[in-house]
Amino acid sequence: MEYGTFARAWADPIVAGQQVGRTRLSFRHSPLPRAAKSSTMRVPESPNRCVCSHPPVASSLHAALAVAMRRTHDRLHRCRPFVGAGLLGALAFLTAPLSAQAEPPQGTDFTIQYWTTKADGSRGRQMTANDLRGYVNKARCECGQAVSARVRLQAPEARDSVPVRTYVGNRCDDGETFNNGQARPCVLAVNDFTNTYTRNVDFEFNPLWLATGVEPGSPRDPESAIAAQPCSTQTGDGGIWICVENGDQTDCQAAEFVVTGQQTEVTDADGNTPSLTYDFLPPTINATNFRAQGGDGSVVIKWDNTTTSDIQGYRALCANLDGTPVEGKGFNLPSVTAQNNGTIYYTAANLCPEGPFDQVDVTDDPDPIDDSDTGLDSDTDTDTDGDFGSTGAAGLGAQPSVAHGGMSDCCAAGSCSDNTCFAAVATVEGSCANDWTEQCAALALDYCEMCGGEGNCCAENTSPSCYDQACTVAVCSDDAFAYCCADRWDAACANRAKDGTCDVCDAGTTGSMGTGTDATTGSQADSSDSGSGSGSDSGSGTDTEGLDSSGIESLDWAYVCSDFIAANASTARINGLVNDQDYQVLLVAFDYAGNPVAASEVFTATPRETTDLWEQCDAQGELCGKGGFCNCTSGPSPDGTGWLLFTGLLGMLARRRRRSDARRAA
Amino acid sequence: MNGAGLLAAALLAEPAAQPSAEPPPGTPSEEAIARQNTIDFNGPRRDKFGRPGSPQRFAFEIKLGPYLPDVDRDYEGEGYGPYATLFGETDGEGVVNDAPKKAVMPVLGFDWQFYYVGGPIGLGTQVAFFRDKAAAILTNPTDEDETVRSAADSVTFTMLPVSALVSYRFELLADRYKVPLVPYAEAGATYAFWWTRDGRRNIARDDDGDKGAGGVWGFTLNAGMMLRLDFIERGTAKKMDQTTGINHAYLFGEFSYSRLDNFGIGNTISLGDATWFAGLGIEF
Repeated sequence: MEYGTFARAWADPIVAGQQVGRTRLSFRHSPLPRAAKSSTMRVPESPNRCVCSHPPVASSLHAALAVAMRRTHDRLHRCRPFVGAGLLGALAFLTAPLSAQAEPPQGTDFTIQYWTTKADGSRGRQMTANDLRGYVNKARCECGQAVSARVRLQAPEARDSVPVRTYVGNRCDDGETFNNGQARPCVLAVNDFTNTYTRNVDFEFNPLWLATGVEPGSPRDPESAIAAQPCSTQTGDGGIWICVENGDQTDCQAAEFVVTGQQTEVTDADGNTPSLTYDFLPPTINATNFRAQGGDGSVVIKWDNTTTSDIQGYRALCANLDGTPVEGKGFNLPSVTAQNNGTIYYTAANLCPEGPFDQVDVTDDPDPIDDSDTGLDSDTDTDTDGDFGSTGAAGLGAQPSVAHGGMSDCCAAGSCSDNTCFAAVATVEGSCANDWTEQCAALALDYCEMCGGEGNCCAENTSPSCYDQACTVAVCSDDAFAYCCADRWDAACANRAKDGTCDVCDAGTTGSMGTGTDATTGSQADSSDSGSGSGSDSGSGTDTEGLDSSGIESLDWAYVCSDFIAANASTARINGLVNDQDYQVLLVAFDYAGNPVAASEVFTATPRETTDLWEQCDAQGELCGKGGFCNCTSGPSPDGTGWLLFTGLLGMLARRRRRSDARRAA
Repeated sequence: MNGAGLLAAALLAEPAAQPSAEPPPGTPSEEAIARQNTIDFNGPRRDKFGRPGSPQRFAFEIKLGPYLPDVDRDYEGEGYGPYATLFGETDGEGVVNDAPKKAVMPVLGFDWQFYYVGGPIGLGTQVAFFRDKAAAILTNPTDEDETVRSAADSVTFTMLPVSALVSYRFELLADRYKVPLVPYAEAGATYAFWWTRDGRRNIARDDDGDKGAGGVWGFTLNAGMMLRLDFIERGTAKKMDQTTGINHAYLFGEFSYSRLDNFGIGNTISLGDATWFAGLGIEF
């Protein structure tokens, strides 16, 4: 550390004191019990942060002095045996030339590992390459299933003791400098000096922080930070960002980030190093012409699989007409820490049926990312609020909620300047990347919060209200359904919308059951409908009025009636059903991260007994005889000509052979 | 010239006529010349039976032909037998109105030619594959059903006949007189594995629980004519023999008669047929 920086650290309570105190509060001993707040940090190897102890033996005298100094400053009044801060400062000054030879930590000095966490919050297994690519899905985000992380500084040589800040998120460099209106500051997980990182620094964070930053003006620590966005349709790569202060400015600049979210210790079979991916966006359904047909003790769902998307596979769901799961069907819930490998999916209701493991406060601002905000705030560099490390946010603290002038341009045809919305819609419909058409704007209604809602009115979704204002009013005007606008647009709200209350649910659907699509699949349902039509076929499947499809539409694993079905399949069979009994069936698609979406409508179909060849033979007098591989014990049938012919053939061959031998002998 | 003159001339000429001790560079060794002399430059290379070309021991053939197992052979009732009822031609309502069409059956054959009497006698095997598929019949169709067939279920019948055959190919005319036709005949025993699947894609079972799968013995007789393709480009054929060891290539057609009903013993399914095949074959 340069002396100037050191002196500023000493003189600046922000650097030397407050954040240290904040960090101290979040340290815990290992093993960590289930945290009420999962976003905590722990240093197992650090038994106590008691400042009354002597300073630790650091790699350099100067580093040791720096640590001792900030601790002393923080708790000077409790450290009577310890020397005064002035003396330490003098010593630091004297030794400064000696320590100036040490370099600050480099990005490669840090090792970063991620772990899964169990339902009780304890650490699960270390994440594999597959986990990194597909573990963090929307259900885990909604349930707040924490990701556990470990950061350690393992430099080959002594490193200068400087402030090192660990953030969780994406584009944290942009968020810190706030030079991009789309970015928000990342949550600050650890803020300490280099020496602390020479031990394992363990902490946990809510997966939401991978996808979104903190709301301006909110605290930066994970426990109390307010998220700028909820778990919605974000996708991307996130992870741990580490800023090593160079002392030029009190806050982290882009160039000071030595670890930029991509660093892990895991390599896959191909030698690639995957980063921690978050995917909260269910797959796009490009298949069309779904239909359900009754088979013998089974129901078959068929579809035209014409194009590919990020669908990893399918599961077929079934239910009785009354909405209850079919006896003998269904699967156990996937383990909270199961490695899905793309064969299972998660819903929040299944992952955390008793409620979220952890919750993050999310801003009420309907449009937390302001497109028009340049991010340049004259207050940014002043940082007089004493909030170390959150200068950018502090600068905006005077305007905690960035007002938005109205509907985003993404909500209408033309253009879309909101990157998040743009990416979400472009993922669904690739052509929107080039031309923001009315179709893209319509998709934005489903996928972009700033367009007034984030859910399909005709299906269950996690947000209050839905994208159609008239429908929202119509449903919520009924007192019994007022909660739909206040709390959550659940299946009952969707059913209410579908029962004729909302015109939007009448359009683009086929059959009375044709609205059973997930909130994120409104467009997909449309595409399905625009194809050759979907519905039951050949009279073996029928749309039935008045069914309770809320159960099967919940995508609960109790309704899963098939094994994993590959993405390139075009048929799914549900066996083990009772003939001549009506069933509801639904096809669910999911991506590698396990985000499910109802791919088809909810169909009804009736298994029908069929006759095969063997039964037909039996019915026509056992004309096909008996099966088996050695049916030779019965007496010869009246028609023994075949046997005689073959015997004669063998006899002729034998006779010829004897003659040949005789000639040869002669 | 007198005698003294001749002697003198011979003495003078001797050093020039005498060969040097070391042969000039590039001169073949005696061993090489001896090896070269084993090659018969006067006629084509022949095997131990006198046939030109490299030794000929094996034959391989692939053939295709229409096939329909004669499952309904013993059916004497009205209408169609069980096989035709399932796999026959149907009208718009799924009702059978014609006998089933034959399906294409591929066959692979391999021969070991161990003796030559005007042509190779061989022991070989051939494996065929047959599969038929049709929409399952609704057991209890109703008036509301537009068809008696299930839209979801299909039933299949599959057989895999494996034969051990003795073969004879009369190649004398082709070998000696360049007549490109080779008549042949094969005969032997056949065991045909078979199975049928129900609409649930399981092996079918009847009401007694008996599986619709098994195997039946029988025999197969093949007789046909092969067209030796060497005449198209004899030079190329010889070159192929020299470089790959393939003596001859054939285009052939045959009549095949198979009787697969356990030689009439017991109550078994009948899977034989009388049909024809065409294919390609090589001898090597």
